[in-house]
Amino acid sequence: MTSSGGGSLVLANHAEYNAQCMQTRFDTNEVKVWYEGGAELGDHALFWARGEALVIVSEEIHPRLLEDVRRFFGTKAIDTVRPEGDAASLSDRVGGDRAVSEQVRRWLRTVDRPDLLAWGLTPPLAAFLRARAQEGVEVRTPGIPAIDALWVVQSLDSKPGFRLLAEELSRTHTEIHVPEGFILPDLDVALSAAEDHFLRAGQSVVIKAARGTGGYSTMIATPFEQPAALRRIRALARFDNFWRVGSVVVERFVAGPDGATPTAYTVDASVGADGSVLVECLGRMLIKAGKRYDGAVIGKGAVEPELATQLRQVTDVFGRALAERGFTGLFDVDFVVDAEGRAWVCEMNVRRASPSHLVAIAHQAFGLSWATDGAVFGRDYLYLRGSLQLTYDDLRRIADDFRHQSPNTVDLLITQASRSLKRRSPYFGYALLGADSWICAEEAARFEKFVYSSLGLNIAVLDNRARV
Amino acid sequence: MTHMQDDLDSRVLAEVASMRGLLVEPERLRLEHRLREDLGLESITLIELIVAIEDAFDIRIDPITMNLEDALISVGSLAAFVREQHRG
Repeated sequence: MTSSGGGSLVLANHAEYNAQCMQTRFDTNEVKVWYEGGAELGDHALFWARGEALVIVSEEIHPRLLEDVRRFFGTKAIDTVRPEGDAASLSDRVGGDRAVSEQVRRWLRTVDRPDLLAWGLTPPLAAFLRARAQEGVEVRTPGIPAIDALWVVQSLDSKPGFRLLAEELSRTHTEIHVPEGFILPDLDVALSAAEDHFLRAGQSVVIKAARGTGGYSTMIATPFEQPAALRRIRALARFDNFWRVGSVVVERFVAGPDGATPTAYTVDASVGADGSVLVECLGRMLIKAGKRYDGAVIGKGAVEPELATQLRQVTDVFGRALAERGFTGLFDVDFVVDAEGRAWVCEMNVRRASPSHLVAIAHQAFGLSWATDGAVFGRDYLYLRGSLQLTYDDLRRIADDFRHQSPNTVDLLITQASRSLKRRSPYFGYALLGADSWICAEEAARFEKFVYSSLGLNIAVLDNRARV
Repeated sequence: MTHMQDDLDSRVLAEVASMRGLLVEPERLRLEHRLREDLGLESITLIELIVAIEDAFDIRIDPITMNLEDALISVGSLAAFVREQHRG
């Protein structure tokens, strides 16, 4: 399958990036926490180019989902190609599959100065780009840095690397607030520090492994649960390779109003070739179980104006620091906001951010001024019962039924289903569009209940989730 | 089924019922329910369940040497695994 010309070459290299981020693979006896490494997220890559593209994926995309994305963007020129092979790296798989490799080469020659869009820069992707350069194919990489800046990605995508930078910047920029904390050599030392310095003083604590993404490899302990909390963390860590690699960060838990889980925000931005920093999107994150990324709401009303100013200022400082280190491309900074409305930096991702597909959807639906003209609520992980054996078509029918009886929902797209529905514990992702973030949140809650009741699932589960 | 078996099964059922995000109402939980397909438990929650089982039954589960894949099929297979550890 080849592109009809124009557009971007998209590489859905989530798993390849996560393999780098996690550093170590999980064996079959470790409950496969990250065994699949984010390959399910490949469907999101269909949206990255915002139109014409050849999308390289590690798993088959459901044909009807692809059709729906084409219809949404009003183009037929979004095609997918899936290289064969069992290499963990998608970039390596392209090189290892002669037919696909040739197809990509041909496609690149038909497009004038094509863009390559990816989840993030990795060593295998750097090798892929070097090989294209040797063939004389000029590929622009607007979202990822030059190969020389790979070290910046590898350094700052680690929790200690980010913390060191945040501490350094906070010395000269009073608007940057970093929770009190330490970088420690291993989990044992980290747990001692958590107990002696934070929990005994009555403060809750966050413990972060060096590598991890989406809230995995992060644990929270409160003084109320002691001593069970630290014992439980030690026990959980036995099943999880994150804690055996690299140093560990221990930080004061920033509490929201009444000591509850704080609201979390993400700012997606980019550093241009001239070093300028452009904020692309401010979003409120959906967080599950107090720490896991579940989705985001972006657009009108998602972030209060005063807070938005604060978040933009801090993101700009981080962006300029990245530029000074030779980085260009997409990045995000994540925050939590305490009871007084003060934003604390949590982490930075030196890659495309998770709500990236939502920005493309908002842009297409509401135009250039989407941030003030509408909103998008996107949940990436709505879990279903595997024994139901649902297909994309089943979900699509339910979504259509909901849309027809919901005048406040401007549009509703299934954004992730091809592989995620085939898991033993399946889930899907969706994006719901509405006039503002409050309407979107209400409609999304109704949609989730509609899905669950249509399938005869336990609606009480939804009431236990964190909501925006 | 002996009383001891019955008691162990009930305790395992209670531990599973305490997990977050079950797709089946706790009072309807049965040994036949598959942990992932029927109850919707994900990998992280499965690890939390193992740790809760360790605590409840005072056993230590080694992720390297023990075959957890077979134990984590259903509530019943988990109960059988716990029974086996008790015997051992």
